Amino acid sequence: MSLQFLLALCQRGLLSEGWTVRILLIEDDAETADYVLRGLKESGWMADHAATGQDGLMMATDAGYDILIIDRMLPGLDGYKLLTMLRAGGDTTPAIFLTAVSSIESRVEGLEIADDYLVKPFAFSELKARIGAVARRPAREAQETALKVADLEMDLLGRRVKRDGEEIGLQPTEFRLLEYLMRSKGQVVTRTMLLENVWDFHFDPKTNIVETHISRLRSKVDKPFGRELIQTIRGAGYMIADADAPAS
Amino acid sequence: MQTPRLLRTAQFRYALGAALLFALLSSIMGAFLYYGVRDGMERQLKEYIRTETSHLMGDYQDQGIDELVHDIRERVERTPSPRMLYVVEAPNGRRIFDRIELPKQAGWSRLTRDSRPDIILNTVRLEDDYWLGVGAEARGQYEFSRAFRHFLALAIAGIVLLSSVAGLLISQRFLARLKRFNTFAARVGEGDLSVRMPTEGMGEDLRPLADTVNRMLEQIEILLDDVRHNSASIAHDLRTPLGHLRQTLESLAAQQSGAAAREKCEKAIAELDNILSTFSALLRIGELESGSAEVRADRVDLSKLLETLAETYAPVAEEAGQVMSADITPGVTVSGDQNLLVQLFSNLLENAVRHAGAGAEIEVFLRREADAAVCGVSDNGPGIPRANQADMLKPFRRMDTSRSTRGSGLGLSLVRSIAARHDAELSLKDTAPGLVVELIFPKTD
Repeated sequence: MSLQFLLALCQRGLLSEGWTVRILLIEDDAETADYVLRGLKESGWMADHAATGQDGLMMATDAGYDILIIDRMLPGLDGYKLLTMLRAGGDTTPAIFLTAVSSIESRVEGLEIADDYLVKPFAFSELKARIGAVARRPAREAQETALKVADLEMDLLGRRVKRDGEEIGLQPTEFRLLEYLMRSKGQVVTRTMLLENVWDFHFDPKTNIVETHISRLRSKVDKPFGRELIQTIRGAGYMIADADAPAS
Repeated sequence: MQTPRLLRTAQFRYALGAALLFALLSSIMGAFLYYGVRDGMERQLKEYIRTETSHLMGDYQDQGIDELVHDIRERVERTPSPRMLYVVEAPNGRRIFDRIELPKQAGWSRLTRDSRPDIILNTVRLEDDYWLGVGAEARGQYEFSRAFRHFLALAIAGIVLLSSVAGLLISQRFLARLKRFNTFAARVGEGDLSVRMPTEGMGEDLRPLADTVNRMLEQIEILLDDVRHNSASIAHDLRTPLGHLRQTLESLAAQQSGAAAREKCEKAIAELDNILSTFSALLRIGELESGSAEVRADRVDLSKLLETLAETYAPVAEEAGQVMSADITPGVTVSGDQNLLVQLFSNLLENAVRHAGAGAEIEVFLRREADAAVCGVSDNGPGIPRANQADMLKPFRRMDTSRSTRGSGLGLSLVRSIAARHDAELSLKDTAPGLVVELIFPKTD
């Protein structure tokens, strides 16, 4: 984050509680833009909107944003080219692509330069969770060897999980699921995010595998200890957090 | 024994047939020539003999048998070998001079001898039962016929050999062209419509065919591009309003204070998501079948992939009152697209969980058979009657009995499309009771 940006944030009095995320939405479809902007504002984020690729590129280069949300299909300068140009100029601002094209090919291509990829239409809660994940990403780059939420500890090297000092035996899938939740501590993760990151599923399965595995995980991690760490966020997804401590 | 492919081509057979026909014609012509020359030589020889005989007979007529014998002796002594042959046979059977046995009949005869030239003989009956024979070895004729036979045999062998070689070369060239054509057709079959048949070196016979095929391909490519472009536009054009609808519903849901109204909105959103997911599956199948989607060819650890999926779906099956087990040979890898293969097997497992019914046993299996990887999912549920099996792989085909369960009916056709793009052979087997969906990947890494 640039010094100027920090100063700007201070001036706006946004550094009171951590800092407020500034988002630029580049989207030509007015209705979708409206919906996303409203959602972003309701979530307490600052959001600006550009309706064309050219405007978006200008705004993204001029003002410092924390996150870019870019529609891939834009008239004139399309989203992919726009982000390629930004990246070529050394801009590393986290970016999320929105797209109506769900092919695996375009996803792979998109993820080469963007940090996340969301297929339209989407629930706003999905976008919100992904913004949360992308905004936190730099901190996660550091190599961690252990994760901790309240009295739940995960040893990433020894592949062991302990709660309250007691060892918990987990299946490989359960371990990966818990690891993803713990890495996103205090953040909502959606069902789709879990499917993509834990199972590598880039489609919508017709059975409730996420629900089933979460419920298994709970019966091992939460139930015997009497205090729930894995929470269901209604209409959004799941979150692991120390219920006593305020969410970070 | 299997004849080599080269020898089974039409070209080679034509060449061989032509060679044999030519050899036959040459033989017939040779025979005419042979007999013509032979007859000429014989006529000439007979002319000599006749002249000689008439000289001798002239003397004999004038001065009797003694003068004849004297005459012949003179001639025999005077002429070095090879000379003409003379026989005078007395009534008591005694022969002088060349002592050839004479046929007791006046006129021409031919004495054949093994591996020596024949003798052409003119026999004349003299007075008092004396016989005179004048003959000559048909040496020239003998040598000519020997030489000619050798020549003919050699020529025919040469013709047949040369034609076979020519036939082989032609068929080899033809096979090479065919191979090029085959490679080209295979690439088109894989969905690469940008390739063109090589017209260079095709020869005037095949060039028009190549040109026609290329024009056809161009047309198809243009049409498919249109279709592809249109489906991308349709995807975009349909997704956008559906997206707006979803947004509206979501906002509406948020505004509802009553739980019942909110639930209805959420139900509508779920239905909409179903439509969208069916739509995505359809587009995906279209992409895969038209060949427009790129399928990666990475090394995929099939054993690991199936183990993870089995572990993923085991609790889901357990919740449905089923038992899931895995019998997976470790370390089997195939070349393919990880994402698509995950989708393929997850579709198979979901089908099993959803249709096998409570109490069923589901097994995920993978084994190596020679070079191939044989894998799939088996269950002991109600299965699919044989008559319906082919139908089940087509889009939207569902058995009437399963209409009531959730699903788009696209699962198995997606499986089929993905399998086809991986050159994997897909089969359904009704094991009464139960169903085995098996995939054979022809080559493991």
